[in-house]
Amino acid sequence: MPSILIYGGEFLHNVPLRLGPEAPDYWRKARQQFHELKQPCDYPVHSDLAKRLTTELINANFDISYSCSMDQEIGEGHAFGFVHQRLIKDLDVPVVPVIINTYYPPNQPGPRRCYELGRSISAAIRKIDNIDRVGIIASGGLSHFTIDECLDRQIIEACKENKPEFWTSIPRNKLKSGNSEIRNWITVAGTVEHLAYDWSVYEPCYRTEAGTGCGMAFAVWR
Amino acid sequence: MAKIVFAAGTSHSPALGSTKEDYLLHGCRDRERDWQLDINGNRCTFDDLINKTNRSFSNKIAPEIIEKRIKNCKKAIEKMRKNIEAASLDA
Repeated sequence: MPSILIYGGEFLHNVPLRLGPEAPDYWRKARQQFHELKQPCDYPVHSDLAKRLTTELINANFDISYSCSMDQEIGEGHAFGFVHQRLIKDLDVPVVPVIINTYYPPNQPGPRRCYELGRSISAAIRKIDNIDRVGIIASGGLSHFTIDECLDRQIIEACKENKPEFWTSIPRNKLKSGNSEIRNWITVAGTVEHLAYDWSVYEPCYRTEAGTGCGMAFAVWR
Repeated sequence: MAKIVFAAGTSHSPALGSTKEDYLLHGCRDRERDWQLDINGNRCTFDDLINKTNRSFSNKIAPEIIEKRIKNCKKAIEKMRKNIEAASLDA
């Protein structure tokens, strides 16, 4: 698994939900939100921006993996499917997927590297002159499957007052399993130093007596 | 010159696609998982998690609490969707 990969193919492919007959109904309904209802769909990728961004990041000493092909049967992962289906479904906005290996040992980038990646993405974007307005979204997190409210609330506070020293020093033992997706938030935090925090919502959505669930979080900078 | 003019962070949990009636069923997957991680990233069992915790979560999984939280998450997703649309992004 590449540590950091940019996808520069022409389209991101999404497919209808495929689960075995043994899948319970609640799980089928929950996962439908990542997928097309009936027919596969190709979402546009800004291939030129993907290539330019990769080049600029390589020049900034990030060893970025780059790919122009993807598995057509599986389609885009749920992190991207969520964004396409729930957030930009009806917008004709081409995307540049930046895939960070948050989860799989041993080559997940550390918090400092993620934050610096964000800073470098922001700097790289400013060197590109054939487009104007760019948005960036961190998909995933916060703590799961054991909710760590203390960590999650620290993250929301850091979103409000962007604190590089906090983002770069989150202990790695706090970034395992589902928590690992917080790396995507760290990366985005590195891109927003010139933006103003706008709003956030945090809901610790517990679901068992053991304190498991997901720290659901949403934040916007503009 | 291009510029990042909008940024966001969003959870993408499968549970965000669930109704309040279905929400607690996601807990079944937690109970069935071979291992858990405590908040310090140490492996443990589901029962270990219950024993390690010094607080009760039973009041956190009451139906009215879950309903409120799911409602707030859905409102946040819809607000973010509208914010993205209003940002008139090129990419």
